[in-house]
Amino acid sequence: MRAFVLTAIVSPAFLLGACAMQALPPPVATLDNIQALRAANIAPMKVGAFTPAPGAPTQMDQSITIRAGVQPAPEGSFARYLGDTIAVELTNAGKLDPGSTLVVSGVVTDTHVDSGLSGTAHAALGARFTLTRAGKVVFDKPLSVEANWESEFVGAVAIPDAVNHYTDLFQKLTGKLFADPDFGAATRGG
Amino acid sequence: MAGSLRIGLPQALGGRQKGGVMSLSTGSAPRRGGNCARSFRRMSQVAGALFAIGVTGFASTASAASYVDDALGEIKPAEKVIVANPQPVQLLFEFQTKGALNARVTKYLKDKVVDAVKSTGAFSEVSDTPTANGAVLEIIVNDAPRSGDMAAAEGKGFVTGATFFVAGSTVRENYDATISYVAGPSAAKITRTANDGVYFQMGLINSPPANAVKIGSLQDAIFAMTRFIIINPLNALAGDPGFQGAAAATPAPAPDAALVPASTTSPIPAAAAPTPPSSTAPSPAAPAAAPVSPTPPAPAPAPAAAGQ
Repeated sequence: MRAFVLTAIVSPAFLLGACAMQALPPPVATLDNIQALRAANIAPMKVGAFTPAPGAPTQMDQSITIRAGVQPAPEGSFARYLGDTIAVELTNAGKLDPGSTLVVSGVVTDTHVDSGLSGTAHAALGARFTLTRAGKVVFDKPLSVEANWESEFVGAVAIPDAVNHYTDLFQKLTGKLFADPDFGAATRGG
Repeated sequence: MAGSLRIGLPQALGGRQKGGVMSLSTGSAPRRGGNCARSFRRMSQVAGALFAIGVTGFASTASAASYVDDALGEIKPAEKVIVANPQPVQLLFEFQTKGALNARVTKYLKDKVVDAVKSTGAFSEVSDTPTANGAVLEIIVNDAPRSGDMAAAEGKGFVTGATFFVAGSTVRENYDATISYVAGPSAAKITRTANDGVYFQMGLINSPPANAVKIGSLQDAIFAMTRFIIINPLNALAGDPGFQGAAAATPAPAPDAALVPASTTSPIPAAAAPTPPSSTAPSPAAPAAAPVSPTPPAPAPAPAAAGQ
């Protein structure tokens, strides 16, 4: 579809179009993350608060700006989107238990996207995850993921491309958390 | 204008063609003036409107032709694997662009994917939530331009637009599908892959692409591709001994040119390999497929995508 879009956009008659970013759909689960949860025999848990880091610019959590495009966060918060991603993965693995005393929460410490007119584009997402059991912290670790890709010159291709790579990081960060041996051990250790 | 040649999935792609208004400005000429000036202004406006209508109509008549590769298509009855004892399955679907999750198109195509899976009859129930048997089917369709596709599309689009849709252009969009299945929580993952392509033509002077079937609109072509690229590898998957409920006596389907018939996780052929985003590496290979064994499932996503 990207080639279709590029073909149409480069056609001068289509240069009149404008671009507006729409809300992101809810996150989706992946088999890799489900298998990671199964393989680690992670105990069911509930998802607590996910917030931006204290002192971080509010705007950082509410939207990302890619060239002339602004992608608003689902429900106004990318930190919440990270929590929703974890909840979706846990739900699909049968590991979400709203009544559990095991609670995973997080603080988003880094979130940004750079997509210039040419060259390599870059996105990063980082968070400090905390797991508590009956109020006692049993896991506390910062994790981060990043992506690099070739940036397209045409903004109508490059901007959605950057949004895709950025939102993909939420799945990847969630997968990194689930695959963390300390996290798995903390969920099991009573 | 935008309505005359719709790309099909503008919203899903993150952009939105707005308005479709062709504005022809003649500058900030004062509204006062004599009859001659008013007439000239009126003539200019009429000419502008006619130009806009002409271009719009021209583009409309010259725009619509979409094709899908004929390598896959519907499954021939003789090749269809009949599952003797279909089991429920939890379905996960993800549409990717160059290997990265494209959440909008994922949502856009989800219903078509569910319909395609149900139509195979390989499962008794297709669910969004975990099933009692722990079976999971994951379908990933990756919009993976081949090397040079984007530059070619750019050049063709320019020529077609510059000639007001007289010179035609044909663009092929490449898609790779990876379909993975685990029959239960401790079952090994079995995988099949397939490749398909959608062609989109613009302009008056064009010839049909070889080895492709004409489908109505671009949207219809994408829906058709989505179906073909799912039901074919899924049919091959259903013939795998690791597929719970597959009829042992049913012969596996004949290999298809666009289908990778490996019994385990198979790489997509080099010619169809997705453009690898430098840090969004695909998952590592899964363990062998058959028979279903209590071996640990595939490891977590490769940390290659992660920050160090």
